[in-house]
Amino acid sequence: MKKSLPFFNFVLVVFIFFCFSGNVVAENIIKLGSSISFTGKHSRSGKLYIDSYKLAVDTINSKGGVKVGDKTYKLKLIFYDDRSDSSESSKMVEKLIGKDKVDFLLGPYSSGITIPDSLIARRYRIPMIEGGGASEKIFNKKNKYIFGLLPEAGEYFKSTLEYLKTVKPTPKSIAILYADDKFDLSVGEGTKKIAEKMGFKIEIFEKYSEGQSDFTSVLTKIKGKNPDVILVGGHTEEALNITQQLKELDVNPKMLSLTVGPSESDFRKALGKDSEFVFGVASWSTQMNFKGYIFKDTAEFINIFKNKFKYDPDYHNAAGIACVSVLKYAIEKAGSLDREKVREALVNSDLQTIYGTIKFNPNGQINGTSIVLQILDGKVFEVYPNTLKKSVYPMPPWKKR
Amino acid sequence: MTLQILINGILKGGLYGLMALGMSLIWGVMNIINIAHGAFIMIGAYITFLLFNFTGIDPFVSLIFSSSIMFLIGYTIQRGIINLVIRAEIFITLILAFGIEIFINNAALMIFSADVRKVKVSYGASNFNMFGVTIPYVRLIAFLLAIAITIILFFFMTRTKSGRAIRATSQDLDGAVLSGVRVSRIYAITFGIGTALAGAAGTLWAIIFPLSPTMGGSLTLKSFVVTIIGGLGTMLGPVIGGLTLGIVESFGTNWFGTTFESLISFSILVIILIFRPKGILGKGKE
Amino acid sequence: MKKNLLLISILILFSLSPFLTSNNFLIRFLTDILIFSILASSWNIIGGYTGYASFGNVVFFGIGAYSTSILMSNTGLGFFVSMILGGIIAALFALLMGLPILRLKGHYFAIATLGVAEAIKALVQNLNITEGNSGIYLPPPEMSVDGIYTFFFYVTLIVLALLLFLTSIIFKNKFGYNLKAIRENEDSANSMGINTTIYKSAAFSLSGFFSGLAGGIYAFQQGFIKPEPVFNVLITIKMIVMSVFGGLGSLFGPLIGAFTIETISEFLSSYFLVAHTLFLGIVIILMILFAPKGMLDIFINIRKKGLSYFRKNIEEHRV
Repeated sequence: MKKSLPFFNFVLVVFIFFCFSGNVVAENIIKLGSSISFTGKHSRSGKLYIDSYKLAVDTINSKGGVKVGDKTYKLKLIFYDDRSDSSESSKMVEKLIGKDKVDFLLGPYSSGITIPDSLIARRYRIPMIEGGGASEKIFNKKNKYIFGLLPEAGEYFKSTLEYLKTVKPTPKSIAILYADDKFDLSVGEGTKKIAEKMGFKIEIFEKYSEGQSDFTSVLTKIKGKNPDVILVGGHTEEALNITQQLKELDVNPKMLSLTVGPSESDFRKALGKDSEFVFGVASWSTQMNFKGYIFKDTAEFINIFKNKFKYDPDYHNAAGIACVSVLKYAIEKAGSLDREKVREALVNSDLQTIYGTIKFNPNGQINGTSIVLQILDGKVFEVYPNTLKKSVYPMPPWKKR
Repeated sequence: MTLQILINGILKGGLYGLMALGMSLIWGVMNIINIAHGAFIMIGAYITFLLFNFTGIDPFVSLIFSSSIMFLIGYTIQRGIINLVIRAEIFITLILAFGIEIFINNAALMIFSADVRKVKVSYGASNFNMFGVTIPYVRLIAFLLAIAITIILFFFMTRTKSGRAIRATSQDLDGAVLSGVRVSRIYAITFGIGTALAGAAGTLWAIIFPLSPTMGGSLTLKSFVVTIIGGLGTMLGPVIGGLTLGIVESFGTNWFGTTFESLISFSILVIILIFRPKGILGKGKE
Repeated sequence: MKKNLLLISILILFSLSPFLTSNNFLIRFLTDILIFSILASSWNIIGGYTGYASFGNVVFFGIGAYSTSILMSNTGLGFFVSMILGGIIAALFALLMGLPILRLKGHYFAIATLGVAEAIKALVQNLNITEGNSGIYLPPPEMSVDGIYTFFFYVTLIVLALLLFLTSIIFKNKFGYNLKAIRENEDSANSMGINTTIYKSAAFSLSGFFSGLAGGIYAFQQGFIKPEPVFNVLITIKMIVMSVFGGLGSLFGPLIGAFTIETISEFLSSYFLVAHTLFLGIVIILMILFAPKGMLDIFINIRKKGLSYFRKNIEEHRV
């Protein structure tokens, strides 16, 4: 063995301990940790939560912070980039817990990443509140430490199908296209069940690979069968490509609806006029108005948000605000930072926020529904169950616009 | 419908062929597998994106720019780095190429962020109909350009002095050295041409598909498959390989589902390597 | 003698680390180093000793991970049984895969192994039993939080120790001698009467077995796995880089390589949030250009030859 080798190893060992030295904890600070998608395929949606978490924390701190008993605490956010990758996210959550010693966790974006992160939260018994994962597979593992603010994925298209029963002529055939991640699997399976029960014919039920960019093959199949309605369970990037390629292949359904994308202003900007008449789903829209918890009401929130970030907020943004809101509420209700007490306070939440009423089901998912949106004149409007603007059905064919 | 599926496959296959052409050239002449090939395609795509967004240059026109810039980049990388390990064992060159790929991908990630971008041309989704088949214009033009570039390369390699020098070097290294060919310069030119072709493929890709800094990895893998199917050591190999893969994928995903695309292409790769490593047209060295 | 004592005391200290610190993140980090040590040492058997540079070894890691996951979540089998079965399934797959693929040489072998790894990943993404691309849960370990970290550290340490023990026996025996003969000149080995097919396949299966065990440990530790992370080609690259930098064909080389690369990686991550992989790429490029024979070789030779060591390396390899 060479003499210099042990010394070399010693130097490396020093490096390791250097890297792992924790921080000194300051008084009266509650640390909130979030491993979330700053970069990667989910970065567009991840940014919506990052912005909201920051705004919520700043607003709470500027209004006095969080009261725990007779002491006042300020909130502090600690972020790591999960690069839209679930294993990276798990590592970062462990880092937040082990190195940064966070008190509570705020969730990532997407069900696929929320699931492994929530398992770590369960292992360490730290409550995690997320607004970015809707798959029931997050909540069916008897995990008492995960709370979700998005309604059940399988029911995302329920109101859309109900809407379809009100239009004339009533559409008969549906194509369901869904990605192979946990969220969209739930969307696909759930939508098929509901649609069949309501008497629709499922002409095409096709799975595609998460992150895929070329949909020619499956859209050719759809073109061949010519269904009335196309419902897509996917995330924003996929939604952009599918819409674009539908135009490329000149496929003209009477309705195109996508679970994620249409509500985001990025989507409308990227597609421009091609996004017109596209339908979407959301758990919230800017046309709603609720009394707020850390803001006066929804209208004030939208105003402050737009001024600060220069884009229209959507349901992801609102859900992000709600995550921090319900956490503050639970801490104050418990009167303590004890994680078990806060967890119990979360379980029995009944809170009105700018996002709506927050009440959790026994499995930790919010009791909520989706509304139907449509992009009209470059903006997003709720068209069902409330008709804030009259919907356009059927969608005009591409070549006739 | 069958005709539409076939046409889809052919159009995509032409693009595949161009993508693999650069890799096949470098592999055939220098016996180097350029793992970073996809990264070079990505750079070409981003050059087109930037030119289009900042100067409005039409992406098809930007082909000239992306190929030239990529040629210079490739020539420099070869001269500066790869030349240093040409005669080392296989895995050394492979690891070097991986290191270069990691560097390029992450540099792109830092510069452009991981967000997905799109070249939004006004004629992007325009299409026409023929015999019941809808053909998007951009895919057709990309296909024709891919074939044209392959033909240009063919003439370059067979009719010009540099081209013949390159072929001589690949067939008989010692003989080429004896006849006065400066091997390091030939290698650098070859690598430059290979990356220029990758850049051109990137440009065409950017017109049809969205771009992201990590798009290269899967394109490198696709290029392998096409190169092996078509066979090394021949110029038409990549085109034939590309068309074959494009058509098989198109029908395969139609029958089995679009999630089977990778399984189809890699199964073909493994089967060909086992039973006919030379590929369809190859006169490869083993 | 003194040097060996120092080395042994470092190893003992390392083995006792879960009891020397309560920082679970640190223990997890050391466990990751151990897992990569297993992977790199396994690769070394087929890549370093036998000279067949496989670029698809991650397939065994993934098969081990998925076998363990499927067995644990669908049958009543416990972790140890599932992990070992996972290793056996990976070894059998290596045997099967080796039959046609080990007949190929050089680049073709490398690409073929890469192709198999990607094909298996694609297959796993499409099967129902693996829950496709969406991921599969495993039952959680029934232990205290600290207990979990200590448990995985020691399981991994024991598997690594077993692997090193087996490898050292092989290295000193006819088996190792034959593998070396195959690496140096397979045709001569054949003409000397060595059944190269059997020895190659055995080396490949051994490599697969231990990579599979590592996969099983990883899966149970994660609690939830998806195809992309456990079949990722970057893991194979890391295995190879670690083996090369530690010194190909040496017993402890891959460990040194694993320790160094992972530590550098973690150090870079802490200080360069976005750029760390970029720097890792640079590190890989520099090290392969200037130190392709591994770090051990640097330490031996730098004293004798000084800086010209680096220049000589390059001169040997350039055009």
